[in-house]
Amino acid sequence: MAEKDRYYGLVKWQKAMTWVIVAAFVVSILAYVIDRGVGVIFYAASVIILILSGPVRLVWISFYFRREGDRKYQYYAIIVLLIIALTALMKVMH
Amino acid sequence: MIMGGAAAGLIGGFLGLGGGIVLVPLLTLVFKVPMHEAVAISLATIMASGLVSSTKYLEKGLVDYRLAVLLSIFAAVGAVTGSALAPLMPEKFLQTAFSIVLLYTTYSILSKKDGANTRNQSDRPPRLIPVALVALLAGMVSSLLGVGGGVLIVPAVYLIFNYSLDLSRGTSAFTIGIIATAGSVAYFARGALNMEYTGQIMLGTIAGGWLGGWLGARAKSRLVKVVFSIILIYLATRMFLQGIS
Repeated sequence: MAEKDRYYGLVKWQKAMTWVIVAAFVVSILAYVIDRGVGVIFYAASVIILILSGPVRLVWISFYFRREGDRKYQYYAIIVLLIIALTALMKVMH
Repeated sequence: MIMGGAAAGLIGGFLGLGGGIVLVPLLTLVFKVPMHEAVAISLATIMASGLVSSTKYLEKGLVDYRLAVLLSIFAAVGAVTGSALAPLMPEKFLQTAFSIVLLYTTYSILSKKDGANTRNQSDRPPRLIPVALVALLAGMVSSLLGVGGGVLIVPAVYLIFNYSLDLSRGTSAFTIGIIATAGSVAYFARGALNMEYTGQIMLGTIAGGWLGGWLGARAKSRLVKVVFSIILIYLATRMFLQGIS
């Protein structure tokens, strides 16, 4: 099976995430036009969805490596998740 | 501002970069947004353009997951190390030296011929230690000099690890979209992310990133090389002028 076909699942995931993010920002802009304060809250919610898309992709990749029987890279993907979480925490605390 | 976001997404998606190279100067010079706010907005938009454009590269089978994971680990560690070392480093000297490295990189990209032994996505990724060294260095330089990771990752993967330029850009787009998460979380949690600007720019960035990724996954290698070289020469000139000023 071609590599492209094997990771097709992620393409569908990423497309779905993109549409969710687009919908969130469109709704936020509409809310912003109606009421600025409410719009800013919607923007913040949209950014949270966007931020979550990174870890979601990494979790998917770790499952992908697991399915492939590639334990080493599964752990590497988890390490990336941990590094991102730690780096974010360090920057927030600093 | 929406058009600015679209331009950043388009160039970023086309070249496998983040688009900060367009967005940060635009926000600071045209819209007079303070630098720290511009950087925060840029990081958030890099996540979006990386997600959207890498989808287009994925459709064409132009992302090497294994390499992306390895690059993410060491580039993130390099970025943290770089920010810790920043106060100790001679910034002006680094800028001048790096501008020369960028010019040499431009020459190398333009003169490299893509041969039959070019690595593709079904090959095993390069050995861990060379990838670790390159990604650490890319992360450090990115953090020390304030340049985006993609501008270093694409040439490194293309020139050092002998991937095709298409696969280098797809892998870079995927990697930087993930690496930008840490910085974005931090800016968001500290309340340093200007929601009004981010919200307005984001739709433009997503549309531009989608188009840039679509075009980039189909563009002729020669055209990509020329556009990439123009960006590198612009960056080298800017760094050189900052370095000698």
